[in-house]
Amino acid sequence: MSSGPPPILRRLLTWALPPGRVRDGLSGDLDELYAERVQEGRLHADVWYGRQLLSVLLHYPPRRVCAVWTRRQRVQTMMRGLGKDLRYAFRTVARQPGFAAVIVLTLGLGIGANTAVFSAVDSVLLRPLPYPDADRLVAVWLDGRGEPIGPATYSAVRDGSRTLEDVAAWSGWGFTVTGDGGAEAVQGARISTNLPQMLGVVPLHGRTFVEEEALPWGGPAYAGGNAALLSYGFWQRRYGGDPAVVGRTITIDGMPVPVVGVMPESFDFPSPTAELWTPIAVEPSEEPSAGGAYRLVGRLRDGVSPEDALSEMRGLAGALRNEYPDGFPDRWGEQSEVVPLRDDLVGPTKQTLFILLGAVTFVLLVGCANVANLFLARATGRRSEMAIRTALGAGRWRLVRQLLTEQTVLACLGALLGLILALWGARIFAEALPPDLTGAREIGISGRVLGFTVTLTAVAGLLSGIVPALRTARGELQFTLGEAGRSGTLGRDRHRLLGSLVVTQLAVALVLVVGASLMLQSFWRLSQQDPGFRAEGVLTFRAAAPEAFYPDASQRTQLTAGILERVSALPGVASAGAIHLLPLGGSNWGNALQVESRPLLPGQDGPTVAWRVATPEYFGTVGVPLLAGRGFTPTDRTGAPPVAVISETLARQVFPGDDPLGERVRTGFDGEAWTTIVGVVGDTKDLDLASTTLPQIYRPHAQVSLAGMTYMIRTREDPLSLAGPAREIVADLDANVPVSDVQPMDDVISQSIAEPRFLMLLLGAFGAAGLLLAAVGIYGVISYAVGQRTREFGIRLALGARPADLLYHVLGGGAKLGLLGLLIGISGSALLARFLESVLYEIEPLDGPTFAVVAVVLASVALLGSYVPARRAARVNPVISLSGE
Amino acid sequence: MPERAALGEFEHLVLATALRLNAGYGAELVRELEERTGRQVQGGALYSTLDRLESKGYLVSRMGEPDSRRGGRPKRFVEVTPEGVRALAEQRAALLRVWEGLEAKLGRA
Repeated sequence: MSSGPPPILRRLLTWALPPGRVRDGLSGDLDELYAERVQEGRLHADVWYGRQLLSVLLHYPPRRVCAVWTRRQRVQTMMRGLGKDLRYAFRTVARQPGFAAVIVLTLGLGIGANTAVFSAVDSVLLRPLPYPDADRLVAVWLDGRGEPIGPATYSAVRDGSRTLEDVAAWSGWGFTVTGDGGAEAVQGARISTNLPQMLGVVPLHGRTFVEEEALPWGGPAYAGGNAALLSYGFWQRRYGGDPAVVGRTITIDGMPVPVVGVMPESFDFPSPTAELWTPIAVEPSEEPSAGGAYRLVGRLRDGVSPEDALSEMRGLAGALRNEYPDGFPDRWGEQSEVVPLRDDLVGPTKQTLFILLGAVTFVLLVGCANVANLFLARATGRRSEMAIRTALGAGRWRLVRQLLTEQTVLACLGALLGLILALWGARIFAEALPPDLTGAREIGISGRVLGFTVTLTAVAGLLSGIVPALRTARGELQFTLGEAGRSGTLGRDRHRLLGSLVVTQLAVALVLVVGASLMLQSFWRLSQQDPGFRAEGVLTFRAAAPEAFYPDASQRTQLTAGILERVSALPGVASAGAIHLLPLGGSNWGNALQVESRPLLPGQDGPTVAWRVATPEYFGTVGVPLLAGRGFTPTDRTGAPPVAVISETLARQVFPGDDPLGERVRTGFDGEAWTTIVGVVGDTKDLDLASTTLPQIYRPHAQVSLAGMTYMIRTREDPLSLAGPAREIVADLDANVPVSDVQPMDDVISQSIAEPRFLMLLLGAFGAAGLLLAAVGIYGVISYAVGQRTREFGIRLALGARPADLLYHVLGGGAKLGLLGLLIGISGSALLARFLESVLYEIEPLDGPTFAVVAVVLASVALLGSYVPARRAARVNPVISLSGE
Repeated sequence: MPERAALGEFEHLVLATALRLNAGYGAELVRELEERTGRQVQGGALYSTLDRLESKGYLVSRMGEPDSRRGGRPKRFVEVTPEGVRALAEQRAALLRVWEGLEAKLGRA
């Protein structure tokens, strides 16, 4: 007996082998064989036993030792299992194509919508500007957002700042390019010569500006400096992409200007519509003062934060105020802001995009809840399958894994569908967003967007699948295989789970619908806003005379008069007038107003008014009513006393209770001369329908002959029919005057509310989708529950319950779910309303009637969804249901 | 069972030996195999092969009585199933077909 194998080796062997017949059989065999070998020598036998032990360890790897080896084995097993799962999953999906289609469609829509919105968010908000270290670029507003400054102030900032590596100035500008290729109105900017270098942009051809070729601000009225930079698009379009254009002279605003370079395709500062840049020198010829036309862009030094720069700017502004008290009003510079350049260029679209992203996430949530419901409902049908597999030895985790694989396959199919939808959706976005929005052009499926989609798919798949998978695998093990399909009552657990899913859906759908209806009301109110003029039947176009060709005021007056005279003579035209800035055009010329009879105290600034130049017929043509005094007449021309007409709001704000007629006023645009108020007209909306009406002052064109005017023609016919004739008239008068922005005035109004309309449409669609999904969800759940409880209902009916009782019972269940959903949803909506505040127009976010109406709608949806199954419950035939199948 | 999994070389040897022994147990198989093939048989390899053959349905095993001579461990007896016999026959036939006419090349094997 002592001739057994070495005990320690034997103990190791016994420990390594899996218990059961392998351990019993093998260790016994080895003992036996050892006994034979020991006769040939103990050492020989021991060595043999050792080698046997090694072989055992190799073939039956102990779980605790050699973790790496084990993990590799387990991974290999898992991989093999995964392959099997995938094949099984595809087979299962193929067997139930309808079920699979619904899931793929639901997930696909949700994922697709999210991807589309995210691609817009990515392109407009997340993607960095195409300049090196673009996150170091900031927009500097010394006197608050939107307040431009003058050249001397710019110099002071540039010289005095230590936090900013460099500061550049720019001002958006409209140029007129004439010569070969015809007269064209071109958007662009006047920039300080250091702007391209500061942005880090290298021209495609030629060079950028040098200091010497910039003209001072106070110089000639035309905007062309001694050099011009072309955009890539402009260069391709007008000059055929010919590199020899560099060095050639083109005519800008009537002046010959040499082209010094062409910018690369990616350069679109300040917006994608900019095509031409000229340099501006900002040598101060005067003391710094408030007001001006420049916006500042700066580059932060390394290690400096925007907050540091902001406090420095506040300090600089304060210093300027103290040093030049006459130039700056008391509180100038206290509203300074330093904003990352990207945010500054994007503006309010940011909120729109985030709201959309939130809404679309909600739709996906509702969709996932529906999908989860579907999985759970189907789980019942697979109970016998699960029971069999468990009996055959499948572990719970294995079952869960296989179910998850199925769900992942469906989710991936949904994601594919979603990507296709998103491609289409991204294009819609690209067209719906304003064309001058940086990044709007490039909306598409980038790498980051793809990564987002993949993550979203995984999350959506898990969300909708994990609970059903766990439940399915665990669930009904107590049912023997013979009892497939029948259950007495619905397990309380499952009922609660389904119920909570439905409640979630209802709550989310409520939030969506509330959001959508708030937007709807807001948009409705916005579109009902009276612009102050009648736009129907009015055609508008812009004609800007190149200033160098029209150096005399009388020439400009004559041109405008000539255009108006000929246009009025066209058949069907009722009247024609001109104004220098299109109402609702999005831009403004503002200045401080001084009243002669009410002098200002030192350090005080007059109210800011919107300054406009118009011809006498303008008011009549667009239907602005005359409220007091008179409009402009032919006597108001150069040499005659300067006159002005003010708007109702200006009269009310500046001369409350008094008669403004006869008062003398002036603005910075009028120079030294005081103008006499001769009339008061109705207000018109200026920038857009949503902003509050500014006080407005009008000067007659005959006295202030601006070269660029916007013409308005009222006609009895279709406005667009006049487009061709109008162009011909202008071209006939002077081929060098470009005609641009030809559109009916109705389009202008429509354009100004395009973004709110887009938002409203999308939110409406999402709200409807969410509501539909919730309705389907609640119907599905109640219907399923009723189906499960058919036997129970049969029993109840047999025991004397009336069908109506059952009906109310089921309805009651649905109502309870609905109520819970409403409560949660209402609190959610209250939160949402906070976010919507920024885009809602004159609608209180916590609008009582809206909430009430939506709650009623949702309650009816819940009831309706429960009603049909409830009827079925009431109609259960106890005989049939109790007799089994 | 439409398609039959192929037998590995060692599997084939083990299965054939089990067939020969009729209702042999582990140690017997080891002795027989070592004698006939002339090479050392590792217990771990043998047993995992037996497991595999059993999972393929070619063998069935059962445990015997605890044997005091083996430290109380019972023996594991194996028997070849009809499927197993068929698999062996098929593979043998295939081998013979492949070897048809090749004996001459074996020469001084």
